[in-house]
Amino acid sequence: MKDILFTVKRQQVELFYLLVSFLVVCLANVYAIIQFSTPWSELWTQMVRVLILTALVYGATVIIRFVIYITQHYILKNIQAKKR
Amino acid sequence: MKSLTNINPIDTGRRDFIKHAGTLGTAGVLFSTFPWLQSCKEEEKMKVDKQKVKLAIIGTGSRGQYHMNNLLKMDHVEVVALCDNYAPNLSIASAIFPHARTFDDYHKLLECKDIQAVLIAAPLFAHAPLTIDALAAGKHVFCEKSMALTLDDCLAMYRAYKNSGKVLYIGQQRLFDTKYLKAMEMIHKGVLGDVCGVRSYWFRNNDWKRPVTSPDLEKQINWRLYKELSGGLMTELATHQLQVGNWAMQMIPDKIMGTGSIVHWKDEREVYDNVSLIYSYANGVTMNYESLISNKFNGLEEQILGTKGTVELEKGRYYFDEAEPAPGIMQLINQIEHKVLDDVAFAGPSWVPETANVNKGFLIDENASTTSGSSSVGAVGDGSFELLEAFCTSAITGENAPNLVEEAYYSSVLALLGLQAIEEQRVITFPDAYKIPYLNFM
Repeated sequence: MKDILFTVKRQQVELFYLLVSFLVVCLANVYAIIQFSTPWSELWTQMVRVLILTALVYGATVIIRFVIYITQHYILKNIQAKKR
Repeated sequence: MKSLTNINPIDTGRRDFIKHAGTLGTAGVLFSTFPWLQSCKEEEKMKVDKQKVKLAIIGTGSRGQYHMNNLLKMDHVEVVALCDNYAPNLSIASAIFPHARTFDDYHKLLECKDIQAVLIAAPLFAHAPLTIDALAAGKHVFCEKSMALTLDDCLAMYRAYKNSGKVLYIGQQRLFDTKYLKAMEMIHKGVLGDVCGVRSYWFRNNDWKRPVTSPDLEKQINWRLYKELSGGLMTELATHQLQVGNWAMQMIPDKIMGTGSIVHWKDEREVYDNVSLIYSYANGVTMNYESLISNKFNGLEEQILGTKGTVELEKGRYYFDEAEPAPGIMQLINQIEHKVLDDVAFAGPSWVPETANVNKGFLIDENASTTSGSSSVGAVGDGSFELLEAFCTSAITGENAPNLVEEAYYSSVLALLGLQAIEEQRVITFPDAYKIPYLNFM
């Protein structure tokens, strides 16, 4: 067992991804309001749904980044092993 | 008891209507739209303040006793006489009104000068002679529906009423039921679009027979089962619902067709235990009517079908065909989901079968009572109290309830024409001889 270090830089990065996720879902909500001619009041009446979707989108970015990290890590490891 | 004059205004715009569904048009609009409610006006009630109409009751059976219990709660009526040729019922009635004189012959009752009004809750075959004689004797009359057993008797009652100058009320209590008034205002203002159909039905599962202590009393007690005394389902149940259909349509149908038979209760009865009819209006709309007494799954209902929605009057609910749209964000997710997951493209909306959807709808009036239809005597809050109270007011003021008799006349005549269509197995055109000036038959 060892301590997991959640650095300030990592926190800033995660907050950035969370903010981007929120903005993307907000833009999707605006698009949906225009597309389906629903009331503009849905910008705030649907905030709970927007926050839930934000969490889902953020979760998706976590999974994608984790997959990329694992893949890169595995490739690098292979390259280094071949060099030896 | 909720006063009909204390009903508040509605805005019949769709969203606002839902918001204000617990209210009804302002008093002025209310009384011009439904003129038979004149006696419910506050000024009319002021006129009769502390006055009491001296009322006699002819017919003290189940429906008569139902009215008696309502009369006990009214201030401006005094029951002074009771009449019945069936002694057990008369003694029950006498216990309710111990100071009332009792009669077994209505002619003697009508000779009493102090009696101002009579309430007739006798079997159907007796309605016409009782009403005509009472009007001729100078009494104001409240007569239970249906008006009469024959077309000629209905017309004779109507003419006797017109010539007498006296008050006549017929027991079409739905005309005084708050939820019906609200629903009709909504229908007539087009909130549900154009009325494109009417479906009414009344289903029960009982034999409609009452126990008799002697075979001699069979027809006196079970008069509803014999054609010479009653029209069966049509005159005892359908009249209420046919009246509602006409009220919604603001029109009288001019073609009638139907079928009927005795399917289940094969005893000595003569009247049908199931009927199915179509009443066709001049604009092409039809009112479908169905009634049977060997299955109660569907209960009773009057459905007014509009191009934008439906009203179910007995349940006191209304439904819009198109539900409120889902929020945009949910529609977007739904669209994405379909694009990702649907592997076969739909052929379009006409391909999709329109199965009945689950639509809980909205209550017309949250305070209104609804009826299961299990009792033929009457339900609490079905307008019977208000109708009788309005009659007592009219009997004191001498002012009639406009259009009430006409509504009742046409519902009674249509029930009888329905029976004629069944008997003769043909399409009946409303006979000119029985048209009275009202609505499209002016």
